[in-house]
Amino acid sequence: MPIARNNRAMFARVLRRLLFANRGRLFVILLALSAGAAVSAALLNVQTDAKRRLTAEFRSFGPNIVVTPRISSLENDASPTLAEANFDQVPNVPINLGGKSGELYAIATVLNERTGLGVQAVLLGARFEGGVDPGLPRFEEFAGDLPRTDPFCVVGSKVAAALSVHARDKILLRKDSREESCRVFMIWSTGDERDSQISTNLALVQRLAVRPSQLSVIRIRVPGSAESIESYAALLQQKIQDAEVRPLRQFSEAQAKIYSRISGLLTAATALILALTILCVMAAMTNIAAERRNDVGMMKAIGGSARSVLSLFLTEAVVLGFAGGLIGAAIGIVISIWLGKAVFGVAAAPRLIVYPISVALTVLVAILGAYPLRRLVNIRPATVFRGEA
Amino acid sequence: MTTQPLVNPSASIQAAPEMPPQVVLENLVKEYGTLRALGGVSFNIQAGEWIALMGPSGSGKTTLINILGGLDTATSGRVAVNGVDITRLDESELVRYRAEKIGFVFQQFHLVPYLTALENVMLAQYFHSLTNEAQAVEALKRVGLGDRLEHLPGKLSGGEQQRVAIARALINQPKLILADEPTGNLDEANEDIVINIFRELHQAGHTILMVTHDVDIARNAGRRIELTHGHLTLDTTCAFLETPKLCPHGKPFPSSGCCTTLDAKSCNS
Repeated sequence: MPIARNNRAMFARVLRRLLFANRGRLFVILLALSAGAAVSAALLNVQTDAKRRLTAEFRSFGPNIVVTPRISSLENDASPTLAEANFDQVPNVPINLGGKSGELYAIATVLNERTGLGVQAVLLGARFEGGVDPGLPRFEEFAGDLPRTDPFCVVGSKVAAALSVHARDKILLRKDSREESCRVFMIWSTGDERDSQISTNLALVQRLAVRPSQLSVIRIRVPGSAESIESYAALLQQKIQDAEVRPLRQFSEAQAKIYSRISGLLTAATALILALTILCVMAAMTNIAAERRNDVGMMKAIGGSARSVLSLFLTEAVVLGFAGGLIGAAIGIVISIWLGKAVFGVAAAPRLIVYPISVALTVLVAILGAYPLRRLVNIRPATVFRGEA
Repeated sequence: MTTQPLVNPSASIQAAPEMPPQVVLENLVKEYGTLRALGGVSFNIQAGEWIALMGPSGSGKTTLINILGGLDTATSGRVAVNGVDITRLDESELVRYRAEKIGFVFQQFHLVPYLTALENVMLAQYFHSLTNEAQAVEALKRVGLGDRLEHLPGKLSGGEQQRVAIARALINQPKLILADEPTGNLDEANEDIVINIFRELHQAGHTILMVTHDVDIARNAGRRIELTHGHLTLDTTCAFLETPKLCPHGKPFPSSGCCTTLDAKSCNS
């Protein structure tokens, strides 16, 4: 309709003039809005990414599901085990995201072949699929130039001190009348029970403990949320009837707690930034309100209603908020990539949903920041023309 | 400043005495706290009249024109324009009244500084109903600003700004033009231009109520109303004379430059 089109064109014309009437102030308001949008977009993106990131970070803490022998078998056997065949029944999890390990524990006498020193220690034999625990290196992959005639083993620092062994030394492992040997691949200090253990390959420990094809425990690391881990455990329990499948709740719950805290912190920071942005915009708008009193008085004098005049100024605020949001949110997402690298060591993946949310929030901030313009509604032209406040 | 001999406008009033007045003010009172700006002013305005509203500063001229234009409200009394009592209108009705019935011209021009001359005129169209750029251009051409359409007010002289304000006041064909010292900020050359425009408007049948301190400008009006301390002290349709002589009834011509209200009848008879 031409009439409506003419008036829309006039509205746009006046709006353009309003926006560029004071370029310095336009720059300041845009800067405030863009900065607010940038920081809030960055925090929102990190927040959105944090859940996924935390799940990934927690995976490095170790497994989140364990499969152990049933309690009934515990009553009859001091060292209960479960069939190694169960290990193969555990569905494969993506190797880059999770993994599983089958472990057998035994107590043996350990001797330093070179010095003749001996000590009782816990032996851990393990087999892996995927990465379960960075504390359990795959000897085969890292053996380098070590002679491969003997199996490798990793010796905990306390055991190493007691035996006075060094890397490349050969140690003897004795249990009852059986004896095996392994070459020290490395000595590690983890600060936990592994400092008193010797880790080696599963077959060796099975032979020494006379537990062929048996495991003490299966540990599984499953990626995903607490709910998905629970669901995976339930499915696994249906497959493995003769063992007990337990999710390690403390990890899932800790995960949820930490996410909740980080999320709360980021939300609070975002709210604070947006509140500060509102204050900045309000300061500029207070200035605008004072500056435009005469214009508003004149507009009302020539027939402008409070609504039509205010709609011009509010639309100006919306346009500023939209422009500031578009610029700021784009910058913010770039910042979040850097922030993700700084906090988690990995760039935060840009989340598309963050962009419109940030723009919408910035528009809202601009509208709230335009609150001082409400004063213009009640301006009486005669009062303004008389020069009264 | 050249003054024009006055064409006796009271003839139009007397030619149709039965015509209802366009504006009726009855016992108009306006108080600002304890200050009484208008103390019961009453007079009528016939359609097509040009009235010079005079008086010393603080006499209530601007207050009266503001109330008449719907920019301010009366404390008491009645103001009827074309039969509608504007003291009873609510805010939204006053907005429509200002947009449709009144054309304002202010001493300070009151143009929007970030809109061009053309956009300032179109703004009045926008608030009235719909914009028509061709009409706005034509209005500016009529006041001699056809080559200043895209100039911002800051790039125009005082006289040019006042002509933009006049074009804006006229763009919606108002019934009543209220001018508050329209030449107060202008030099003599621009004053002549602006007054000539008002003269043309008057000849075209517009009703004009113009506040002025300048007797020379007031001579262009067909009727002079004078306020003192919020009270009407003079209302005459008597002719302004180049050389003070005697009033038609033989009394000495007063120093104010015209005959008194009471003399008007004999003056016009």
